[in-house]
Amino acid sequence: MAGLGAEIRVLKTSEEDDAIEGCRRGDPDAQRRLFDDYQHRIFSIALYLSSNAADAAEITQDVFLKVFASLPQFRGEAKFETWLYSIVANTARDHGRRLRSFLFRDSAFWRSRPDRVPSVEEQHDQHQVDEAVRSAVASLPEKLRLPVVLRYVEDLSYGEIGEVMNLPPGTVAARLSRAHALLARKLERVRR
Amino acid sequence: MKIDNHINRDLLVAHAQRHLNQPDASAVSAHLRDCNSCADDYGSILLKLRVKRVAAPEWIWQGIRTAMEERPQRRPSRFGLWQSLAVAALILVVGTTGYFHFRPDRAQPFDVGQYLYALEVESSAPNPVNMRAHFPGFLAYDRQLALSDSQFQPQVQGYRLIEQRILKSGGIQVVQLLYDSGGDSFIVFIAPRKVIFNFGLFKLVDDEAQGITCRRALCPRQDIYQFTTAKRKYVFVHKHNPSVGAGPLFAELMRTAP
Repeated sequence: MAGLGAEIRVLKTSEEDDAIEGCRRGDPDAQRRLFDDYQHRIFSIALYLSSNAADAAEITQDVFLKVFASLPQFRGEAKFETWLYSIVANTARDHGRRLRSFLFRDSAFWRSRPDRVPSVEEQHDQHQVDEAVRSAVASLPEKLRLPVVLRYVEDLSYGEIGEVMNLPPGTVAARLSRAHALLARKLERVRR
Repeated sequence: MKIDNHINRDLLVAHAQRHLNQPDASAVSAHLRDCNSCADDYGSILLKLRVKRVAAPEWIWQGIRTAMEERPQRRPSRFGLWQSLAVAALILVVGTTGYFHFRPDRAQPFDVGQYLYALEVESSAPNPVNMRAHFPGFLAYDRQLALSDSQFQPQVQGYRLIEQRILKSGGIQVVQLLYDSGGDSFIVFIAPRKVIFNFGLFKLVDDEAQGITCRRALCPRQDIYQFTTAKRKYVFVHKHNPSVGAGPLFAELMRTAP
């Protein structure tokens, strides 16, 4: 999986408004524009929430299907991005619950999947460290995981995270602080 | 290095970037175990350094388009109550007649894809192995393909069917069959369309896979594929062709899979 860095093009507000309006009418070109603009962001959030590329891809697909189906009802009372992130969070939660309870955890086939941060010896290169970070983030309790992902993948402020999660900024800050300490200790094992 | 107070940011960054020598790194690690404040700072630094956006796979858009095309379009109803009741009565009559005509006794080949399309089933069952308890209608409907019915289990010599589930994934239902021989196992997925399982992605899901060593189409025109990882074999039946069913073709698949 390639990192994106600064390659992501962000639609200007007026272009985004046009795309949203087009999506409301069911215009396939507008749907494609909105998808192009958000696909990597949504996939990245889903990847850190699920720690699994296949799940992240399915979550991304489901999110866009929900967005296109629900946009006619989106009244613009919240920012589009806030609304979108809420859909991503809910979809990832439902998906994780379903898969964990149904496919992975209970299945004899998946029982051998490692459910831990890889050991020092297993960390041979940057790619594996990145995977270890994703695994560690995904292993956080849900209420800590989402603020971490929104903060570090999407660079949202405490206030913006609070809008998505319906929490005051102070609570977001406290949860992030707890998550940092937990992750620092989890990842100490893969640091060297 | 002895650490009595909080660690400054530069040192934490150097630690996160693995620039410290072993004794210093050990001292920092020991301090982080005991100091919440420094662990908080260090976690934040690690995340800033390591978390980044990742490119989405290219096939997602195609999957979305396919799902949207297959999704039934909602149109405003032009019928009033009486017209709707009349249509419902007509459907009941036709449906009942159809049932008696096509009931299982007539040994109609059961089409997995039609089943997947036609029925709304639970996306997850608390005890999926016991499908008889969860999908009585399913088993009553067709005795030939009842996945957990002893009269018709897709048999594979030397393998035992140990698990069968119906998954809901990306808005569609997928049948999953897990076979095991004690040392070897393989899975059959039966999906109504192509977008759900992507070979490349499945490689990532399977932590034990060392890569795909074999990938071939068993029946190219029918979109039935098999690939083999280091430990397991997979068979994918992409059911978007009406001729793919549970009849001879399915039997052929099961015979040739392992």
